[in-house]
Amino acid sequence: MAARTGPAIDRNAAIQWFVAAVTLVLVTVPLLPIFYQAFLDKPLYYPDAEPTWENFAALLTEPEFRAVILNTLYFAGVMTVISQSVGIGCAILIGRTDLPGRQIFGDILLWPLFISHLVLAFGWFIMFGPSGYITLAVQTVADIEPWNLYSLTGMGVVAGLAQAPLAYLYCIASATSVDASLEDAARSAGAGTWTVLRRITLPLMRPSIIYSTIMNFVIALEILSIPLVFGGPAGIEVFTTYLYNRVFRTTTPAYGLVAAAAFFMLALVMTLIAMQGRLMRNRARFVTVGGKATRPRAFPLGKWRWVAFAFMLAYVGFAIIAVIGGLALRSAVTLLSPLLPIWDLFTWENYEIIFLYPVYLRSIGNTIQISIAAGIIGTALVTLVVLVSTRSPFPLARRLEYIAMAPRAVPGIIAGIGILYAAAMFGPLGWLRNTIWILVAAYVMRYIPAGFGAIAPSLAQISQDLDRGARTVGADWWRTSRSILVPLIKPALFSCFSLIFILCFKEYVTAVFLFAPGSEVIGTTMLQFWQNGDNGPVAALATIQVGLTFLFVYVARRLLGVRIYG
Amino acid sequence: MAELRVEGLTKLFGAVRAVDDISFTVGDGEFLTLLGPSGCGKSTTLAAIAGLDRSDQGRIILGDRVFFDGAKGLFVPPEQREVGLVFQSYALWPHMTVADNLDFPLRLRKMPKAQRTARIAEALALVEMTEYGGRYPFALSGGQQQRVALARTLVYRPSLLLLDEPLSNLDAKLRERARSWLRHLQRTLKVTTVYVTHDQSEALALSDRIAVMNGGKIAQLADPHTIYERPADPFVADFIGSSNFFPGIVASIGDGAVRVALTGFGSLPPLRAPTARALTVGAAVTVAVRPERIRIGQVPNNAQNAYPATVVESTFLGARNQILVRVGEQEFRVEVEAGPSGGESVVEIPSEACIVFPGRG
Repeated sequence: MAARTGPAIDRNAAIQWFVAAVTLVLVTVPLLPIFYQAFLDKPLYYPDAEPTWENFAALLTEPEFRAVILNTLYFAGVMTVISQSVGIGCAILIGRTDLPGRQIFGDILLWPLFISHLVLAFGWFIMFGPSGYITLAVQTVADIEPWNLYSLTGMGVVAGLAQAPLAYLYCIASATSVDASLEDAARSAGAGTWTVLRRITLPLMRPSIIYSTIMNFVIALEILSIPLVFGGPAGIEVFTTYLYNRVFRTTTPAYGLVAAAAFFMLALVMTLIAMQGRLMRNRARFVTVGGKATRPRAFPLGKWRWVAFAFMLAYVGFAIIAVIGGLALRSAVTLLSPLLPIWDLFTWENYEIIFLYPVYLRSIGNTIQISIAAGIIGTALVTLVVLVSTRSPFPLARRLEYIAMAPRAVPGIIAGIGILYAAAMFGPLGWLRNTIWILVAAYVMRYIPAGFGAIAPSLAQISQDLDRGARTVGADWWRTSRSILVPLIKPALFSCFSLIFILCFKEYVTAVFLFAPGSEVIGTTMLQFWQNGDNGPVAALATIQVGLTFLFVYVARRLLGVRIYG
Repeated sequence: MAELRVEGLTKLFGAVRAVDDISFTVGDGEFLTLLGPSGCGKSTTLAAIAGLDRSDQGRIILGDRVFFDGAKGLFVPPEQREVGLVFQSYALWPHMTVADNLDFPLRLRKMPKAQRTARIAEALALVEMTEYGGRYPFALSGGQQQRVALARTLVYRPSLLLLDEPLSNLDAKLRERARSWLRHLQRTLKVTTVYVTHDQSEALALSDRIAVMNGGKIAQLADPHTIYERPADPFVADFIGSSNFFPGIVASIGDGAVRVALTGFGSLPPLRAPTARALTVGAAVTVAVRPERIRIGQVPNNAQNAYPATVVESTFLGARNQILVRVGEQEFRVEVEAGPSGGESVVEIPSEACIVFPGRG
């Protein structure tokens, strides 16, 4: 029997190092220019820029900045409290009670997760803004100003209601997987429904509650659209709008100051993400997955059944259906007002504007192209990263996983500014500048962690024996990966592609900083219309975006059998 | 075929020496079993031979090929070792048919199509699975999967066959049949085989030699009879079959045997036990006796080592009864086909059934 020997250069090691290097470059390129610029006295493309602490000193002594910090914390606090209480409440009502229509409510609750925050913000603005449809309707009936969303609290409530589905998503899984015997044990020990819920069910859900709380708090810090739409007119600045205004609304962009503020925000988010990881470490205390799967029984709501139903209907009706439906309604009329009959104002004009001008049409085409490209490239890269970091003898495998997960702590706005600076700093990025590829690269970087989360668990379920078996019969790591592992995780690859596609399709924050003539996306075009006060085309574009998203989700689920968010 | 040599193999997991400086040789065509409880290092040793795990020290040599040499930093990756490994989980690739599972190693060897087809047919015939080539693994029973797993390693004719508890996922009846079938197959192919198991009856039935492992070391390496009849230490005595352990003190020495005053036997006469060990009067020893070797009830009058006993409890095991008896203050087990279920009786511990170990095992 001839002894087989390997080639002189080991292709396995070469591929592993290559994947690690690409990931490292992708993740660090947006961050390094920010770190660098934060300590420079002039814009980073000046050859005579000198190192300095001045930017941080200037930032901290600026009174506006202190107000921004307080505003941000207050806004994030309100948003987190609202989103978590509504989300956890929904998870328990839908997952654990005999609420009527819980199946449908559960489905609708996931809708906002597929839709851009920008679209949601416009939807809220059109329905609940100062001259919003529902606001005016209430005003005509009751003759009072029912709410003021141009305030920190108002923004916090809107953002909270918009983000509640995320808390719901994270908590529903743990709510329905609670081991029934643990609750039955409490019940037989004499605990009533309420006590079981409070003392057993909720504490067992604690990991997902903590996880989603921190996640929503981080999102509150990162969110741009709601503070921009509602805070802008009232002159209220939070962290994101502060950065946005310093980059776009000043005649001479204060590079150093922006970088220092970005640095500050990055440090804050990284701390929170690190905290999240630390808190998740003792999960075993809450692991309730026993040997046999028993479905927990539903808590009977009794006479509260219809009260809970009304609460759920109000939330889903006003915060989801009205917001999305309002946009569709607005897109088809010249003016949306409860005082005028809708059918008299019907028009195709808003859509005509978009379809008649190539610039606007191009933003739709670009969005689709970018999402597909980022979906394919991202899935390929993430698959390689997962294979190298969890199924290879690569010496830095653990570290590669950390690097791949790092973008979780990089807010979209920071990524946008970072790549903008990187383009200014590194010559080679220049040619990317006016193409969609700079956005593809930025998006791939941002969604590596999301893709990782879609692929890694499914690879972890493939027994190590299957690749070990392939190795012993004579396949090297790369051949094993291609012939054994990748075919076995094919469904996860489709899920990963769909997830990245949707995330890219709704993305706008990073694009705001990076788009140029020729690389507009739907989000940036919407913002332009909105800044000009053209709410009709904004609604039309938003409706197109939502329509395309739902079409994609439907096709992905039906044809590919993909599960997104589930 | 080839001879496998493992020399001074050591594998550390942090501060734990999972495999601690072990050496053994498996002769050409020999069937060697690594036997031990979980965590004894047997699977780690197997993984080291297959190349799935990199050891810290030692050498692994198959024929004239050095697979691993800790001192020289030499490590041949698993795919270049030409070794066949059958997994406990079978590790059949679920997305490939049985024939494709067998085809994969042959494709890797760039074998022409006609030859591959012939080899696959041959291997499937060998494991009596010819009709199942087009099936997917999930459509096979556990026993069939196990055969396919074996065929997949045999199809490329490895010079060394490694088996990692291949029968442990089968039910008891099937396991016995698979055992004799495997034994027959290995004798026919004369392939050098290392077999890992925690099941002593499998080890005794299959092996040419057995290496009993404990705490990362080889406790005893010998043929099945020697292992059973003359265990090297109390661990082996207890792990292979089971044993009663009697602590005691050497009372006198003479004619190739010792007389041991057993703890708890009070004023009863000391136990006579033959031994080749050099022991001194007054030394603490442990005498191991298998329960099935002790007699109860009908004991000849001139019997040596006969003691009056009280039956504490009798448990029906089907073919045999296990009786818990007390002599003085010492309780121990006796296994017989039939015996008293209570009251006073008499037991005989035959001299030739006694194995003396130094110290308080």
